Amino acid sequence: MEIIEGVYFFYMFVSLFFLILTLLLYSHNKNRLMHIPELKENYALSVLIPAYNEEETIQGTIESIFSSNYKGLKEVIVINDGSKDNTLKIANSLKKKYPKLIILDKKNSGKADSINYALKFVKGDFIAIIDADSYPEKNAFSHLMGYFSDTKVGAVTAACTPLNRNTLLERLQAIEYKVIAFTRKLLEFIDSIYVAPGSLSVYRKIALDEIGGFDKTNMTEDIESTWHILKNGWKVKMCLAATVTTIVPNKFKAWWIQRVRWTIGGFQVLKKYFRYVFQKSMFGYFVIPFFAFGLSIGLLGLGLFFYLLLIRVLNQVEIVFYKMNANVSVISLSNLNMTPTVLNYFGIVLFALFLLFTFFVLFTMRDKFLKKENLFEVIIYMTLYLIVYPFMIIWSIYKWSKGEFRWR
Amino acid sequence: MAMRYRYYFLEALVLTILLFIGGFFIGLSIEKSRNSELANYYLTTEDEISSLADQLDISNLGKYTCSELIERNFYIADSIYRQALVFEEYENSAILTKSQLTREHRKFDVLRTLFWINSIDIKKRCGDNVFNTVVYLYDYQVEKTEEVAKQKVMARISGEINDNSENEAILIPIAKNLNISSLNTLLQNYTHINETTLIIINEKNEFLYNQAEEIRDYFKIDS
Repeated sequence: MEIIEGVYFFYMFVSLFFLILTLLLYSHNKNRLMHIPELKENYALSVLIPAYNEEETIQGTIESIFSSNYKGLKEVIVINDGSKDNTLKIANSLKKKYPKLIILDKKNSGKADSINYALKFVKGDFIAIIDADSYPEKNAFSHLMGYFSDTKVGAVTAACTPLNRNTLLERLQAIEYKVIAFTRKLLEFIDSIYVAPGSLSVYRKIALDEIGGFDKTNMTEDIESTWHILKNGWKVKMCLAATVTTIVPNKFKAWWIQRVRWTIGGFQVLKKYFRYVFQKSMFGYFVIPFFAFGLSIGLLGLGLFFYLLLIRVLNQVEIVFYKMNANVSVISLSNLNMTPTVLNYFGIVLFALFLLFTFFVLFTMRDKFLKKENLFEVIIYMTLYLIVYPFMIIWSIYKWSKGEFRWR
Repeated sequence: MAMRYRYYFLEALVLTILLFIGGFFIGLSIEKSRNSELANYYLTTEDEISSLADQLDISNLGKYTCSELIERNFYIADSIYRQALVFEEYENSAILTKSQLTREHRKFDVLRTLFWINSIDIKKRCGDNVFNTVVYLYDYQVEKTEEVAKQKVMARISGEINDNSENEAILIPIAKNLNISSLNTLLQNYTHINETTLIIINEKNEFLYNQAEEIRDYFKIDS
């Protein structure tokens, strides 16, 4: 067996391992998947909405928060981050209707800095961060807050799903969000949730105070804060029954920019926290290596693919050159090797397993989320959509190395 | 905290190893079934070549005519050519049983050498012009792209000869770097060029990869 084939087998082994781990986590915990902890107390909750140019969505976000059935809602603070549109005006217009609504206006300085600014004014013991284009369901906060009865829980996140599902790109993201929500919940069972996303997460204030707020230099302040909280020994939970809908990019360029930002943010947190790898906790033993591995395995696959492609092309060029010189036919049917190798079979089986897993996730969560997936979209998701990721990682590395990234 | 989750990882690891071993054995059995198909080819060809050798031996008794021997030889040559194509395809697809295939390949080349010897023998008995022997010699499992390219060219030319001179040429592909003593002896007699890839026609004319036109002229094949 050659080295390259060994790398293929390694790649397949690791992929299979993570698939089996996920299925095991499901089979051991399936009864707890939709668990909603009892809400023993209406903890004082401050909701922060950092907003920059969100005139189209801010009103909906504020209204959906105030339509929540959670009794402990103390205040909702909109932080207008120097918007150039009517965000501030719209938010202000809702103050009369909602007395608990507070508007803070400041110069543009980014999301993390906006949240940190608002943290100076909050009165609640728990802080919900919600994007200005996200809409929590009525019972989302009630479901999330029950987790804080456990005093070791530092943050709880909700299941996020796209609101807009009209174009193919939007529907592919809907599949992706569903798979992410499902696997993230499973990671909770081994204390390994690596991000409490900005679409809707609630933090215990003392946990946030302990980490000194959000890191404004990081492109993904939500991953950074989650890692910091995990490093400090807090637990991060997820409530799959608590849902929030959000607006996802509907154009490829916007999607690409968003994902590049997320990836660069991922590099930043890895760089910052890598020294804690193998720290005696799931954070050190699993979260950091798993995250690093997730970023690198795509690159490894892409590198391998291009290496083999390059070698093949170079060889074929030389062979064609020789054939032309010898005046024999360049292409013939015998050039096509129609007998699959064992690696081909393994690859097909692995692909089929991941395809089945995706269907399984969609089936398991069918009552909660979108209902429009079909075979074609799932296959597009499994092939074209996921194949873009390694390219995006390469582009992100390039942008990161050039220092060409900023929030807005 | 982390220790209580180790069972998930151990369980996943054990299951992955078991599945992987299972997959490995399934893969192995797929390749072995292909190899056994080749082994059957080998047995058939061995049988046919032995039978031809016997026919040659007893032809002195007037039992077999030259045309019968020649017809039989063409039949075997055709099956050798087709088997070589299948063999090449299986070799290109083999991952787990490569070394086993190398041994199989050597066995086939021993047979092909024997077939070459028989073909020479038939020509001696029935006349030099009854058919042309086209022996395509190459090095087995070369990695240098230049050599692979030369082999591809020669394989293509061999294919042209086989397609266009069906009843004139006996095509025998043999790897010459597998240390087959009978082949080495033949090559000492019939080759004068020290090249890894070449075609010998009728044990006297040697052609290299860049002599496609000369080979075509030899067989009057339009390019």
